[in-house]
Amino acid sequence: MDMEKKYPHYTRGWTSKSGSSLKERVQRWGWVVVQSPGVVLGFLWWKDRLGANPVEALHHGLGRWTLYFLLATLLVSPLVRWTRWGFLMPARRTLGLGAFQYGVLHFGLWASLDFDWEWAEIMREILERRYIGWGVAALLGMVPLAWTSPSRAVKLMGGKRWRTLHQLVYFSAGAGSIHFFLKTFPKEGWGASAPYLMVFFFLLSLRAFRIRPKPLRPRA
Amino acid sequence: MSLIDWNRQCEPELTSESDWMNRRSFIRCAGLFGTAILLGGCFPEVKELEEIDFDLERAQSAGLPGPDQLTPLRKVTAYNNFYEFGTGKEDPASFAHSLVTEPWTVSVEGHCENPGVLDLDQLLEAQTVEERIYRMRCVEGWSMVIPWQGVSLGKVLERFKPLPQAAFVAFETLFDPEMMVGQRYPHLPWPYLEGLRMDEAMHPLTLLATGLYGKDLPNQNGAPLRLVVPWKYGFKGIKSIVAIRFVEKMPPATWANYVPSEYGFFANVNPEVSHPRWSQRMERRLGEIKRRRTLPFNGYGEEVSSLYTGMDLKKWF
Repeated sequence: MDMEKKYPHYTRGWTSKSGSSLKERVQRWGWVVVQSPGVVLGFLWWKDRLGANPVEALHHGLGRWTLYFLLATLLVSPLVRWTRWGFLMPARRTLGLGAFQYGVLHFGLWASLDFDWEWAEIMREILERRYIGWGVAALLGMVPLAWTSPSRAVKLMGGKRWRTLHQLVYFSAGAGSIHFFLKTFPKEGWGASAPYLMVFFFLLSLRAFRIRPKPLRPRA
Repeated sequence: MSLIDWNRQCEPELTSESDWMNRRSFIRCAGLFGTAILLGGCFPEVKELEEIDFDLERAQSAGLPGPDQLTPLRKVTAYNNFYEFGTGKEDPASFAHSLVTEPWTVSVEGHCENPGVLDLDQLLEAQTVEERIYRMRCVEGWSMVIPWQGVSLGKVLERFKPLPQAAFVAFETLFDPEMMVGQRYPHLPWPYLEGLRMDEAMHPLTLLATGLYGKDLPNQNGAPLRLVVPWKYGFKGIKSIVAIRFVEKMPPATWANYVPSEYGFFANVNPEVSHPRWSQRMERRLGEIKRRRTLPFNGYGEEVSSLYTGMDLKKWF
C-alpha cells in the first residue's frame, strides 16, 4: 500500500527533493543492508579469508544470515508499533526477500557443492536427517511469501487473505531456528541457538498477544 | 605392502613446508615411491600413469576432486577438533599454546612384563622415526592428507612385552584444566580415552606420531605424542597421550561411551554406515570445493580389511 496516499497527513514531507519517496529510500537502504553481508562473504571467499574450510564457512554464513533476516522481518511491525516509525514498514518486504535470497543461496550451495544437484541423494539427505528436513521446510515456507511479495499480489489477493498467508513467516522462522538448534546443539549445546530461539519466541508471543496490529495513526 | 618399504628415516633437511610442497607435485613423489601408500589401493594400478600427468593445480582450481594432495600446513594447524581447548575448529589453534609438553611422561601399565613411567625420549628410544603420509577422515565429513613423523605403535608396544591376556590397548589424554582450558567445561567426560584391539594396535599402519610436516607436533595437533590410525575416523587418534594400558576387555572410549548411538569403539571409516548428522558417503577434502566419495577403511582396505573378517561392520561401527 502506498503510505503517502493512505496517510497524507502523516507522511507529509517524506518525498525528497530528488523526487524519490521515503518508501523508495527505505527500500533502497534496506536492500543495501540486505546485500552487504553477502558482499562481505563473497569478498572473503575471493580473498581466501574464510579459514581452513571456506566452503563450510560460506555455507554457515549464508544460513546464519537467512535466520538473522527472517527474525529482522518479524521485528519490523512490533518496532513500528512501539516507535511509531511508520516509514520503516516498507523495509519488511526487503528484509523478507533478503531472508529468502540467503536461504536459496544456503540451500543452493549445499545442493551443488555437496551433492552436485543429484536429486536422489539430496532427497535422501532431507528425509534421513531431521535438521535438514526442518531447514528445507523453512525454505519451502518462504516460497509462497516471496511469490506474493509484489504490491500487485496484495491487491489481487486482497489484504486480508494476503496477511493470513503471510503468517507463514512465523513457521519459517520457527523451522529455521529449530534447524539451527538441531545442528548446533550436539556440539555447542544451548549456547549457539538459545539467543535466536529466545528472539523467535519473544516475537511470536508479541504476535500471539496482539491479534490485529494497531492501525498506524498520526501522532496526536 | 609398499608402505613399509617407503618409510625412510626422517631427514631434517626435508622438513620445511616449502620443501615439502616443492617436491614436485606430491603425486610424482608418491608415484616414485609406489603410489599404494598414499592411494592405499583405492585406484586401480592402470590409472597411476595418468595421475602422474594429471594437472593438479588446474584440477584443484576447477574444484574437481583430483588425486590426493598434501593439505597445506596452515590448514592442518588451523582446523582441529581438540575439545580440551574448546569445541570450535579454531579454538585449539587459539588456546593450545598454554600446553607445556616438556617434560612429558607416559605411564605404561597393565598386562605387560615391563610396565613403567617413561619420559618421552625413553619411550621413543631405539625407535626409527618414519615419515608417513596418510589421509585423515574426520567423522564430520571432512578430510586432510597429512605428512606425519612418528614411530610404529606396534614396535613401541613390543618393548613392554604384552602378556597373552592383553587383548586391547587403552590410551589416555592428559587431564590438566590449568593448561587445557576446554577441560574447565564439561564438553566431554574428561580425560579423553581411546582404545584399540591388540591386532589393530600392532598393525604396521598404526602410528604413534611425534611430528608433522617435519616439525614437532604443534600443540593443537596433539603434542607431544598422538595416535594416528588412518583407516579409522579422526577421533580415534587420541592426542597428548599420558598413559598406555594393556587390558583384557574392550576399554572405554570417550565418544563411543558418551553417545553410543552415534559413535562406535571401532569407528572404521565406512561410507555405508551413516551418522545422524553426517552422511559418510562423501567427504570434503580441505582445499577442495566439491566433495569426493569416501572409501571403505579410508582407502586402506587392502591393508586392514583382513583384521575384520567375519565381523558385521554395520553392527560394530
